[in-house]
Amino acid sequence: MDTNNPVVKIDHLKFNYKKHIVFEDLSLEMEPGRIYGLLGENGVGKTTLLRTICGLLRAESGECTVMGMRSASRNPEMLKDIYFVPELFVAPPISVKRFIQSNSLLYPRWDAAQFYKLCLTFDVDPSYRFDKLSHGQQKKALIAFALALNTRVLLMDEPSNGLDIPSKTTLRRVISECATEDRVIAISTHQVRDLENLIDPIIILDRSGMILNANIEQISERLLFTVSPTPDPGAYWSETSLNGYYQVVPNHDGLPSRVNLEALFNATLRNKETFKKLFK
Amino acid sequence: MNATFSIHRLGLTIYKELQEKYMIILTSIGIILMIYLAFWALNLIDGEPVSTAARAASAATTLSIISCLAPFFLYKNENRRMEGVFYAVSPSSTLEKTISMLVICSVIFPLLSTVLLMSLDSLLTLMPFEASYSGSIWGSMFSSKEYLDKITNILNFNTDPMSIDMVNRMYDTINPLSIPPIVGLALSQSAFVLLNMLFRRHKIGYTLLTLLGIWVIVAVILVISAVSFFDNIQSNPDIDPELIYQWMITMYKAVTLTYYIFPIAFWVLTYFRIRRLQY
Repeated sequence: MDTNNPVVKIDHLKFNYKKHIVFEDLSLEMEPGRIYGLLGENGVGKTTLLRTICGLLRAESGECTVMGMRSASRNPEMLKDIYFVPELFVAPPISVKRFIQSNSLLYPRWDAAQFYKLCLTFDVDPSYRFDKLSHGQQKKALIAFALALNTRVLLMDEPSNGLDIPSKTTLRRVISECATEDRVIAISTHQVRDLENLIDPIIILDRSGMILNANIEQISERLLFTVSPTPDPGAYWSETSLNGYYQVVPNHDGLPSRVNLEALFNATLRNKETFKKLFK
Repeated sequence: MNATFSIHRLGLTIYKELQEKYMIILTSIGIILMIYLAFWALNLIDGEPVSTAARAASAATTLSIISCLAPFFLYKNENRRMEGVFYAVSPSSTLEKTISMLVICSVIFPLLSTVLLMSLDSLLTLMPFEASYSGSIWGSMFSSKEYLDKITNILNFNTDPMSIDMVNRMYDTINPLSIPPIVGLALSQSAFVLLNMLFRRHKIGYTLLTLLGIWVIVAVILVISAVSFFDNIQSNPDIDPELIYQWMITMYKAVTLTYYIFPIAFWVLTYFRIRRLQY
């Protein structure tokens, strides 16, 4: 299997809900072996993008292909290698066990043992009725199912929403364990701290389209995340902290620093045009 | 593997849907059987013997109603935005999803209900109660003979200007064309399936209102054409009875044809509706 070719390819995508334009001209590619983080404010189109990729929405113009197949045509050959975990869903009135038995039938790489192991990790009992579980438990069961399907493309919309703090830590761990060389995982979130140290590359969307699409290495090459006693007038973003000012500044000297996703997100939103040019 | 149709995938799709829906199917059939048992118990209390034809008619009516309502129980959420996500992204083609719906709604569910209901009736005939059921309804349940008799009775209402000979000729023409009740059921069920997939909320209410609206429109058109037809006969008393005969046969053929065409058309429309789910 060629792991260098993009699995997901979006080409000049235009999408709108009646008069509300979501994407005017969006182009991006997703390569296997990576966990893409889709960041953006509410309503910029993160969910719309994920739903378009898995064929739940059809673009006005432009094209979205998954493994070379148009996603909107919902080809079964494409669908068997893609799974979408929605932010909100209605669990069916059957047991989790029954749900996974019936829904896994059409996925060739389904691994039941892996699912039960993930359920143990997440502390979910699959013999319970799906709709009777709490929202957090339902979400964990669905994430465990989605990961155990081993599809080449896994899309997760706000997976950490509704999870307690220990579950968020477990979520980060299991996702990183399940990320393989031939798999693309795309996670949308507006709670960037929940997915810190997990997502790479980062895609930041806004109402004008995509502002940034870069991996952590590229970001740390161009930006310096630092604390200084005085504010830097050239900083893209700064915030007072106990030790002085936490800032995002241009990395002219190529100094190493640890990328802080929340600071990056805020800096990007304040300097949209600059960042577009910086990461072009 | 073919993107449009694969028999293996279809089999898996039907199996998947049956695994998810078997409880709904069994509960619905349980309700039908309970209603039938209640009907039997009422007859016992009443003490009057019930004819085989009456039992067959009541069983057929119950089965028709439940078969029409089945899509609302079995495919309640599939066309809804939030609840229907898993259905829309499940890896089978639109054709396979449509055929699976057809097999479950129009074959498995009605067949299972019919067999179980008739078996229950047969079991009840064995009960050693006075005024209990006797005779089998298996033969008369879906017979088209009664339907045909009704038609010929209607046509017999007036032998003037049509002669007895004409009625006999008409019977001979209609006989091979007669619509089996199963086709009538297929027509109404396919309409219910389509409307179930069209409406996202208040499905049963909107479906009944829509069908009522269509029924009113069709009734108005039929009344207008019948009035103008009889006006024509009255204004032309010398009209050739052969012409009337030909007109009635043509009308009957047209109606018969729609009985066969509409279920197919409704299922094709359901296919396109499934293809556009979530869009």
